[in-house]
Amino acid sequence: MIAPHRRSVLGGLCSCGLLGLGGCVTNMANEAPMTAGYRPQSDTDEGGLWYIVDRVERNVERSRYRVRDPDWNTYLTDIVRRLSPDLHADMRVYLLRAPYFNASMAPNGMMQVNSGLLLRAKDEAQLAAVIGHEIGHYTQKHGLARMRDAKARADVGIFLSMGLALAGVGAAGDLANLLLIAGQYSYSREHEREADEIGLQRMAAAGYRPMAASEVWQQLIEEDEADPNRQSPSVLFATHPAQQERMETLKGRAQQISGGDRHADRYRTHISKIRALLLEDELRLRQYDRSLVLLRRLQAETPEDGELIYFEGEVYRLRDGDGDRRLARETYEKALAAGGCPPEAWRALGQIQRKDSQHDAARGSFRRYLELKPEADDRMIIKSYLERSV
Amino acid sequence: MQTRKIFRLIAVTLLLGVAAACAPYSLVPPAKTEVAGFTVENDIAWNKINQLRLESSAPVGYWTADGPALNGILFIGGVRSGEPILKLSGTEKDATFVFRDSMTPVEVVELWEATLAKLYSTSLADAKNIQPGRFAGLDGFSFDLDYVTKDEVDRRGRGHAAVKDGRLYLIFYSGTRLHHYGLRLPAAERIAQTAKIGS
Repeated sequence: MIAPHRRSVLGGLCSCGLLGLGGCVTNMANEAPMTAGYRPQSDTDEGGLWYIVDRVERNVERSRYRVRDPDWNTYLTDIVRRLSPDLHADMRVYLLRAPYFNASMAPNGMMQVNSGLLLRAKDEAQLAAVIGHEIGHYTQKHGLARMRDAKARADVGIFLSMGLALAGVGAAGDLANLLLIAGQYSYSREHEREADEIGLQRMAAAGYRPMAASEVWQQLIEEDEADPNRQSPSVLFATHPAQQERMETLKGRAQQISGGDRHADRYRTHISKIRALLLEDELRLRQYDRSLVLLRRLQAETPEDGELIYFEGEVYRLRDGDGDRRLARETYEKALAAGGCPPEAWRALGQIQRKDSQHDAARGSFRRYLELKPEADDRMIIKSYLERSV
Repeated sequence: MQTRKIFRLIAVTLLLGVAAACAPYSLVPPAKTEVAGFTVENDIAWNKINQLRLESSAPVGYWTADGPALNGILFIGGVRSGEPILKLSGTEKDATFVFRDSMTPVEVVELWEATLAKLYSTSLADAKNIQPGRFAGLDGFSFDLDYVTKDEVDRRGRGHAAVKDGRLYLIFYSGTRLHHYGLRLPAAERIAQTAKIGS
């Protein structure tokens, strides 16, 4: 699973000794790789795991959070097919409306992709980098390996607690759990590295530009660094290799594999249909610094895109700090000049003008909004501004 | 991060709606009643939840007619500028989710939509139908808000709000969309229509 938001609950409890002890329960594993059409026997632990995730999948299928847009679902399925010509028929992709960068893969072939990931990918190759990574988890049966590792740790934990208690260590159970959890996270990091490598190989084989994988991580680092509320990374408990290390490893590997295509135009065609909705979800989080990094990155690709400029203005309007009202007004004006922005840009501009007592200008902006969107569900309140002297 | 989210979801669920098995209640009989800085007239009996774990710079009250998992009405009586409309007790103030007395009605509704989405950790929240109207003897506004909680239940809310002396006054009724929202909507609207600020 890709997960940029790292755990902090147990952060700071770093100790090489703990890592060593915690990591000793199982070796990196080595489940037989996935084969086409594979389904485990139901009376095995793997069969039990599949039974559980099959049930989860039925809930995901029905979920209200699922984006059912047929165009997007076909598009994602096509990317999976390109990346995995051998196993694609055994995988299902579910797009979920969640404004965070994340994707996950279940042992039974259920892949979940967050809408926040689509917004953050600059091109199809970047999206394929994440999907390829998830396919890596599937092909290597990492879910099964983690379940078996967790079971082994639970068994060892009982003995470890008893041993520590006999040795007179206070809170023995807590310490034993800590050792085991530390090992589990270390184990997961190895899976992430393996999935990264497999993803990269599959990208290259499918004709995607491999450098896109490191770019994804570079972009996440930039967003993280801009976020004043970011949490400090926990060396011990991060399930994933540190972002910087991961980015550099992927970059080094990609330099050895040249070629490939970004498929930026194809991606833009698809994302343009849902991008406004995704940006609204993004702004509702009110993580202004992150959002500005994201928007500026997207604008670098298409500088004259009025929709992106409008949403940058929305960040300033919502943030409402010193000078933000002026910035918002200028940005809305730029967006409207560029074209392609939604009618709400006129409403937003009108609100700023109204606050700045530019009554005639505000009235003009609100009128334009209602002309462009006569059935707007806030038309009554906007009309009330026009009826009053603004 | 995930653990914190889970705790927050559980806490919000207990507070606003979805499973308040041990919440102590007291009966609010049909009468003129003072609640969270408002005086309202309620035609039916409601159940007041006495121990909310939600905070605001304003007094907060929460009543339910059929159980908090099904419907409830929230009273927030006078949020100060620069303060959140509502947050979980004991959590730090997030400066990006604060009311400002310069906000337009559209912006107040945007903030309430974002606040609920944050409290419920949901991406499915959609405010609509913002209309001007009288509320609590003031020029105010009303709005509808559809949202889905993590239990995947569709919910609908209806809010009435106004700003007086730089403070935001809000009454927000919500319930499960399929049946219990509509069931008590007339009673909730009656409360909102009779609301006055103060005693």
